[in-house]
Amino acid sequence: MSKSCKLVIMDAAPLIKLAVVRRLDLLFSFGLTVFIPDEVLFEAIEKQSWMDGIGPTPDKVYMKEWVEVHKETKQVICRETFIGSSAKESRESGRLTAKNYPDNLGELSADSVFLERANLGFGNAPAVLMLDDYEATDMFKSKRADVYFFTTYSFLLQLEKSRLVDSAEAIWSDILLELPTASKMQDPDLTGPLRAGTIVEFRP
Amino acid sequence: MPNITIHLDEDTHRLAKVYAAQSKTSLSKLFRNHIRQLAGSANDSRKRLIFDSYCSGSISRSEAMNELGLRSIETFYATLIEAGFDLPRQTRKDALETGNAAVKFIEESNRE
Repeated sequence: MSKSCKLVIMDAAPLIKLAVVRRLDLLFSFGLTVFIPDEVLFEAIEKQSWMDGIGPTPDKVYMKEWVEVHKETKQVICRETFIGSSAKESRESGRLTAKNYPDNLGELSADSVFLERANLGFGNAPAVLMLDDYEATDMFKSKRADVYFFTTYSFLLQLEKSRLVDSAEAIWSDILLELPTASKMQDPDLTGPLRAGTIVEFRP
Repeated sequence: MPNITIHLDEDTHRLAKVYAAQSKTSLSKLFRNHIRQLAGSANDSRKRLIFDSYCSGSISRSEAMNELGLRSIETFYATLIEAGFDLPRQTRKDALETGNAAVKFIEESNRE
């Protein structure tokens, strides 16, 4: 696997925010390879449909296609983690349901990426984390800034600074505008609830 | 529809009857609407309190979602924004500082 810098997506929120404004390609800025742990990807693409029993919204269809296309070009890497594969098995067997689903599985899965990083092939490769904006605010306040990380907002500001986007604030405003409607619009071609595991297949 | 018995003192009973007559409604409807208003208002206040706590960093997203009985991040964000809140984020200064360090690290990594 390439030693190029990885952008490890630690939380579904940045993917959700960028997908509603169809700007996931921005993640490749600065020559980064995007690494998405399996449970984070489940939370970003499938969880809403699985939890709420609704069909996929257009932003989820876009995100799924984006992941599949860029997995082929190796710009996006999705790998199974112990947490993610256990959760998937429990969902499929019915042991894990929308009612007893732990809230922190995505975070645990992302954490396990680091524990398993040698097996995943980037033990020595540099990595920058991408966190939820809220979580990073907390991290920054508590001065736990011993790791390099982006939040959606700080990432947008760097893109603006590098003149890769016109305005970080304009994209943030678009996210605020689109999030409420995006979560309610089901794709007319894909009706009915999704079953876990039907959108994305992970190939370790 | 279930029936309930309410004990009122005479003054309150008279006030309620007069108010109901002036409002051209029944005591039952008056009571029903008042309870709905109170409950709705309490629910809104509780929701705003939870969003305030989340946005100020007192509780996590998971805790806020649990308190509100919301199961997906998308629905949580939608509800938050519709209630007039911004998504919590770092200050511009902190966000720039965070991002500058990350970009510097990426540039150094790519040079090696």
